[in-house]
Amino acid sequence: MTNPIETPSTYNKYVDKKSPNSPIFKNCFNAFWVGGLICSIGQIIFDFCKYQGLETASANTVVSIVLIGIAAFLTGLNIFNKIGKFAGARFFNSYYRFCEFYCFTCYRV
Amino acid sequence: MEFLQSIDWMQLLRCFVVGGLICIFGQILIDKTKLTPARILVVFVTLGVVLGGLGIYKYIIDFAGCGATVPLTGFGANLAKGAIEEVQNSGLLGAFVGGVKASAGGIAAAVFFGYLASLISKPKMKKQ
Amino acid sequence: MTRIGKQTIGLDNRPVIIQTASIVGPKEAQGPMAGYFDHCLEDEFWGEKTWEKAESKIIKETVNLAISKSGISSSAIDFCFAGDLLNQCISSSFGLRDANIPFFGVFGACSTFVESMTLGSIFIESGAANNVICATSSHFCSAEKQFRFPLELGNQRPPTSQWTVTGSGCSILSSSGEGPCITHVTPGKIVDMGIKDANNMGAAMAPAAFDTLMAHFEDTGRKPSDYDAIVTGDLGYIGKDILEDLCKTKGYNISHNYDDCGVLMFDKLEQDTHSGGSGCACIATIFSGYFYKQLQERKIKKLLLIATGALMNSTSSQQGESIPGIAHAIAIES
Repeated sequence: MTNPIETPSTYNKYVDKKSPNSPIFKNCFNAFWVGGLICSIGQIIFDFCKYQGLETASANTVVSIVLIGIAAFLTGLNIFNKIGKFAGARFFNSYYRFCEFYCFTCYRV
Repeated sequence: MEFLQSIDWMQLLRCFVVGGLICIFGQILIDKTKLTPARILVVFVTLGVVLGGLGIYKYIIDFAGCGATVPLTGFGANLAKGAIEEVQNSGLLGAFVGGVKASAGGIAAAVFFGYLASLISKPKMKKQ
Repeated sequence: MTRIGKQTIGLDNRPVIIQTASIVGPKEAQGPMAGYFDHCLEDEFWGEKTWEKAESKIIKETVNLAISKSGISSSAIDFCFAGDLLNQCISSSFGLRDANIPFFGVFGACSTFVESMTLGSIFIESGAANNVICATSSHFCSAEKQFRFPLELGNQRPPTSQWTVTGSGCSILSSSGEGPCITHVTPGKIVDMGIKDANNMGAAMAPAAFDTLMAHFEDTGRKPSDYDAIVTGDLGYIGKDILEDLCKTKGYNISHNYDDCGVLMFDKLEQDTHSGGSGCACIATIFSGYFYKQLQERKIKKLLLIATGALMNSTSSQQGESIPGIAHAIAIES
């Protein structure tokens, strides 16, 4: 057997072969529907705001505020991290990320 | 009920699909690259700023509504849009003021709710 | 005390491990090794306000428990060697500030337990001490907060990641008394094979474990089959696999009597701990709880204990540095 530890480069290649990959299809599927669902909830809130006569820019702001409030609420209930583990990249929604980082900073203190 | 009838269901579907696709892009970055979540966040926002600044992102917003504005790329595009509008109104200083002004509601909400949550809840162990 | 080969020291007076103690957190208490630990906690706070304070309490109570089990008074303990994963090792220093024992703070990341036992046994062998305490601790929540992300963030953990053990392990070494004794120590060199992925610690540390293991065998002239058990600290499933492969390249087959504390600590499927346990307390609790009893009962007569550590911090990771590993080995006979 060739020596996998001969150089850092050969060792890195060997480790890549040895390490199991994340279940990418399952992760992408979950990211898709959870992310899509969150956007759809945002869309319904947006439509409701427009229905009530708000302008587009204000409606967008209301969507952000409501989604952030829900995110903070779920973080406080310790549910948020379970969703994150389940559907990783749905995180890349909105200010969720921003909000969470701020929550944590408060937690750290 | 009237509100439910007024919803454009095709728009909702487009929103669902585009939002989901943007999240799939993020998931691929998590699984296939060594980028940390913080770096991916920066990539998304920067991408949104660039696409927003070039005027491309507004077509995606027109197509998918909240499917484009809710993800972080939407935040970036909003920053770009705000900066451009403010420059048109108040000159060069607007470049610094405009972005934050456009997203002020969301940022304030993040600060407020984050602070509230930290006062009310206690840090907890995660189960997995 | 004799220097053997490149980096091994033979201990002619054979310091005795007269007592050990271990305390673990709730997740470890649900694992397959739960019955072997002295005390299992119901939650990660143990009545304290922060995780860091909880970790200090855990190491303090573990040390107190070991001293009371040993029957010798704490004034008879000459020195204490302790360390942990937190910045400036505050868990050990704050936890043991009331112990009134001359204190050496030791940092070897997850190799701290064996590093402290190595130093302690040399103090005893040289006549500088009659009794020493070697202790270490780790805590999942405080480690995640320091090294990775706040728990609430809910990041996904890849299959190669490991779970930091919450707990503390302590051993008391003495120049006299009954019990398993330390015969050889092989301190390790820092080995960096360029792994940058902080979620794959097993792969980062395996080359260091390999280097120390080979040095030990070459220095002492021993073979894997000379030991009833060869145990590493926290290479996890992936690191364990890699170490077995690497040993085969030099003609050593360790698969028959080799195991890893990170693999033993948790049930992989039930507890979803991916590549297994890690942290200073992983090897400390499993040695103090399980392997020490096996040695006392002479079910294992010769043990080679190798603790592995990853010498990085969050800054080095963010700056794109790779992860250097280290592994220290001690040979114990009962």
